Amino acid sequence: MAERPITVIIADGQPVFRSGLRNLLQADDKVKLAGEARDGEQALALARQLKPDALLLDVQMPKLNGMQVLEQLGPLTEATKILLMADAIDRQQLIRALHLGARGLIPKNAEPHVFQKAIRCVHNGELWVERDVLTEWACGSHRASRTKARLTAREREIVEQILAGSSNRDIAAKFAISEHTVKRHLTNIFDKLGCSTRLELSLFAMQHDLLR
Amino acid sequence: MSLSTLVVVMAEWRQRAERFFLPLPLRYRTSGASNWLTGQTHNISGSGILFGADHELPVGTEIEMHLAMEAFGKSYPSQIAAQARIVRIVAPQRVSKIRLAQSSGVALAARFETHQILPRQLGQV
Repeated sequence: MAERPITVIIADGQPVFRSGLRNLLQADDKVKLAGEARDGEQALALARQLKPDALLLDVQMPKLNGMQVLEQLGPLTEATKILLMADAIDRQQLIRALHLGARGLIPKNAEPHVFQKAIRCVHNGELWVERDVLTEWACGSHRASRTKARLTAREREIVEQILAGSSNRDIAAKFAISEHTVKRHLTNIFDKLGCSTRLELSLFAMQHDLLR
Repeated sequence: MSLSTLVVVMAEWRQRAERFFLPLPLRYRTSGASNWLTGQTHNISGSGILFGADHELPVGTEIEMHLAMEAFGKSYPSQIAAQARIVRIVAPQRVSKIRLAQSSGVALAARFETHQILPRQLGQV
């Protein structure tokens, strides 16, 4: 029995680039072009409606950029494998994209066969990123997931209060505990997260969506 | 990726100070100035910040900053209030070409001299 073709949506704000990619994918008998989007809002709507196997998502698009689309797709990124396309991207932005569920990045000046190979790889469950980026992302994810699992319920409540700008005195009053106890909790939280200040703790919590 | 490959990849990771790519809205002003200027962070750590600005400020300039704790669609009811000093001006072409932050003419790097996290008040960032 013939294998079902990989359904793909192209999302790119540049008509000429979209046209080239369309021609490339239509010539590939292992791929079926399910739709095209010219801006982020259209990309989001099409992805939610059609639930393709893969989404080629330009980082720079009108209305919603690629990162914003990625954020809003949320759990859909499990089934729809998202490949970002960009002329250039900051390393940390790419790592953030991986945290949000993207499966890799294709430079827009890549050879045509790279697009075809990347689609097949991510469809098979692999990632399409450079090794050193993968290393940094894997270790960050590892740290964040271990951290989430290791924080107690009270520690998570205290992190939430720190993110609200509460002082130790405020936190003590809110939970009817002593300030000494608050400081002890904070010390444990800092140790677990590898942070040394409230600022680092807050930034870490935001970056890794610790309170989700 | 196989488990053995993942183990090799993780073993290659080396310890480094953590910078957070969080596009936080901010306002800042030089010491003694009454008008606030606005910008957005490119990245931020526990000791400093790189942010997009419309105008250069000389290295060594002391600034007061307020950063909103909101990014990627999530908002927290607090802000970072900081005193900082400009340590570097980064040429625009060296900052990411992908301008997820608002468009800016230049990027400024500043080291925090003091910082605290406070509840966000009305009228502030």
